[in-house]
Amino acid sequence: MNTVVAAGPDVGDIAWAARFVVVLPALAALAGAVVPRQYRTTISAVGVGGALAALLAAVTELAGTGGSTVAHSVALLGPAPTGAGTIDLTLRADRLSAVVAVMVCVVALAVQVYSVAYQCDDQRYRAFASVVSLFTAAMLLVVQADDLLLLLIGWEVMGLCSYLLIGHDSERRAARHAAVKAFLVTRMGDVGFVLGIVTLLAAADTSSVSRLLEPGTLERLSTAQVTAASLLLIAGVVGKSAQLPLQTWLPDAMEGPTPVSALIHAATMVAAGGYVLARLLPVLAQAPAARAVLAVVACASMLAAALAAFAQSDLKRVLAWSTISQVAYLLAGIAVAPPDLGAAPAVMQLLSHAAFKSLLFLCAGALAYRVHTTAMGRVADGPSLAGSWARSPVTSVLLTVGLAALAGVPPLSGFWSKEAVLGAAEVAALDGGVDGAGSLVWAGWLVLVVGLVTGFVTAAYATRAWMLVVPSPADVPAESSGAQLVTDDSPPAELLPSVPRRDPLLHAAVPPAMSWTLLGLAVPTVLAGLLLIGPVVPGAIHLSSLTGALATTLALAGIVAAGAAERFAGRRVPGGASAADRRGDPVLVLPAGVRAFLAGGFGLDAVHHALVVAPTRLLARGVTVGDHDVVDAYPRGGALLARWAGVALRLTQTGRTTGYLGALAAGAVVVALAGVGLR
Amino acid sequence: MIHLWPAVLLACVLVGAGLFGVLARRNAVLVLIGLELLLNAANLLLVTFDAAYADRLHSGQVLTLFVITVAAAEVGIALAVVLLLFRRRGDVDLRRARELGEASAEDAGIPPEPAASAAPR
Repeated sequence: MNTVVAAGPDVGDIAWAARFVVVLPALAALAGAVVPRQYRTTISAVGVGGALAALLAAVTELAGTGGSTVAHSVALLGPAPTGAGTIDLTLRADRLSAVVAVMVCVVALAVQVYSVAYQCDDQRYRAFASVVSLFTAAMLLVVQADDLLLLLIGWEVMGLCSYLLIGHDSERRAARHAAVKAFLVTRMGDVGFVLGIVTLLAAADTSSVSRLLEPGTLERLSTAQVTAASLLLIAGVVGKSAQLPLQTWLPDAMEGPTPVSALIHAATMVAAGGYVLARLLPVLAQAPAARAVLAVVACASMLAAALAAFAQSDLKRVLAWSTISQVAYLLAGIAVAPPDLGAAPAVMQLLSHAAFKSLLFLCAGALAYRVHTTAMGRVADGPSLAGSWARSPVTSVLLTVGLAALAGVPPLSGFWSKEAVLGAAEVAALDGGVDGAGSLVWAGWLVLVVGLVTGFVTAAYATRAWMLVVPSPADVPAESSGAQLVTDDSPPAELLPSVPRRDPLLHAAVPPAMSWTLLGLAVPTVLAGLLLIGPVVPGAIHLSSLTGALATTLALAGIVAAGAAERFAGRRVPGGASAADRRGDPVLVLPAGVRAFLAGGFGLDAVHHALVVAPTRLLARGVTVGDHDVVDAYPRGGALLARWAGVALRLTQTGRTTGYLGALAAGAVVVALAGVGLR
Repeated sequence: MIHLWPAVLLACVLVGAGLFGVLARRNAVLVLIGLELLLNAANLLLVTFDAAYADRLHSGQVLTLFVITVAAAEVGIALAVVLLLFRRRGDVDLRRARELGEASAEDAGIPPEPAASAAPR
């Protein structure tokens, strides 16, 4: 267990680094929002500079904390006295927070640099860059928080930022709808999260994570308290990390700009859920029931999302479903984490997923930059990404690397992190549970088996996406797909902000800000396995050759199966005489009903609609009726009364001055008599 | 010390005469004179009871001065209104000046206000 110290040789540096990691992106968000909007260069510089400075601070923090298991408690705002006790509002600098902060800053920096070029004709770039900075700051606050209330603040600010960014193209109805959906669905989970934090606060009588995680504090809590708090926190995580049954917002969130998708999926919102559970792992360890629930939810999300990804017709939606599936690996790793390994496998998966998923999204954005669509499919179906190799070979290679990492091809990062999770599941399955009661044996087996099967499906859908995007259709020239045949080496066309993005003659080549970002992200995607030998990942990793071999075999089998399905599906295309038609979409091997079921996300949207949306609307209609016909009836009746009283009083307005004076005199007499009578 | 009743009686007479002037007269100037009688009845009572009760602050006398001042202002405005009424209508008969009443324009047979003011435009 980590120990908290307040003094040491380099504590000052670490403390300042931890503070800067949180404060600098927040300052960048503030500064970027007040720069006049015509100074785009300044706005870009503030956004990129904020992320870069935060990255430097995070690297400093990692250098200070990486080699030890010591956790430093850092005062941020000073303690806040309340009526019931003092809230410390401290930050925590340890290996876990430092390594995740570095990851967040790397992805945020990549997104900021990339969006300088990608959003170049966005009229609202200032708001975009500021909110991205704020989003980063909120995530870093969650990462660094040593106080449950600070963590909650960051968590909620992230919810707001995701709403703003998903709905950034607010002139499109679909984007507005997706933003509201994301906000409301995550909010459903957040209710649980808040209640979970309140439960922990009430039970442990401290808001400090460090004090909460001390063994003495945890032992004081009853099993019921810990289980309730864990289940409520898991509800929040299920919403934020888009696990079943609250996953519906994530595929729709693809309406946001592509850099936003990279940020949300790789570094911030979706990863935050897993991070919080990794941070609070000692609490979860006391609640086997909650961990069992988490294992079941994660396994269901893992496999179902992978199957849904196989049937999507849009590259970004494939990536969205793959995020759900990959984050489910992370959560499964937490659910089965044996005590001696800790959260290390899950953190490993978090880091590698951040690397390859941001690479994949930014690659998808770079490819879409040329053809203005992220649809996958054969050229005959309309504009699509097909034939990317001919248009942008470098980006295609990087996309291939990312997809291979996603599929778990051995030397790449995805392989190692998935091995770490499966290894933890194997330990849990073979060696028993946390407290030796064997409570995690079945969860371990579940995660192991579902994880291996999902690995097969993952390889299949990654291969399918690759086949639909990268190779050129044999006999169809690339020009017909709606984009110019220009390679990345061509000089970029002059970019005018006044010209809309839909003109395919602009954006002919991917600008260097984007391609260099992609190259930079490819490095951790390939080399993240090196984290295993470095002192970076907190805890230990268990790798077994058996699961490794099995997972690799299944991944390769998935690739081969997708290839075979392509040939098979091509044969079933009617009138497929040419070579291009012979290469069908691998998903066509499935029956049409199953395809539609998977592509629609298992009809869960309809279930949500029936269970939540429709009753809510009914309730709203009831409230409207009550408001309109019951509450409003009184004001309307009052108005009617006033009108009739007015009609009656108008009769007294005769215009005869003598009459008025007579009434006045009579009134004076009445008042005088009343005055005399009431004495 | 004189008795109170002659002053009170005089005030009553004044009020009666004033009320009659206000309620029964048709001429606006005479209605105003009736109003002045009412005010002066009040003034008379104020001065009388101030003297009778020997108020050290003499609030009755002070109030009388106020009433006289207000009455002077009132008469100024009222005579101006009467003057305008005469210029506009050619007489000061209050029973015929009913334009401000509900639907009084038709009763009095006078053309409605907008039509009258629309002509110079």
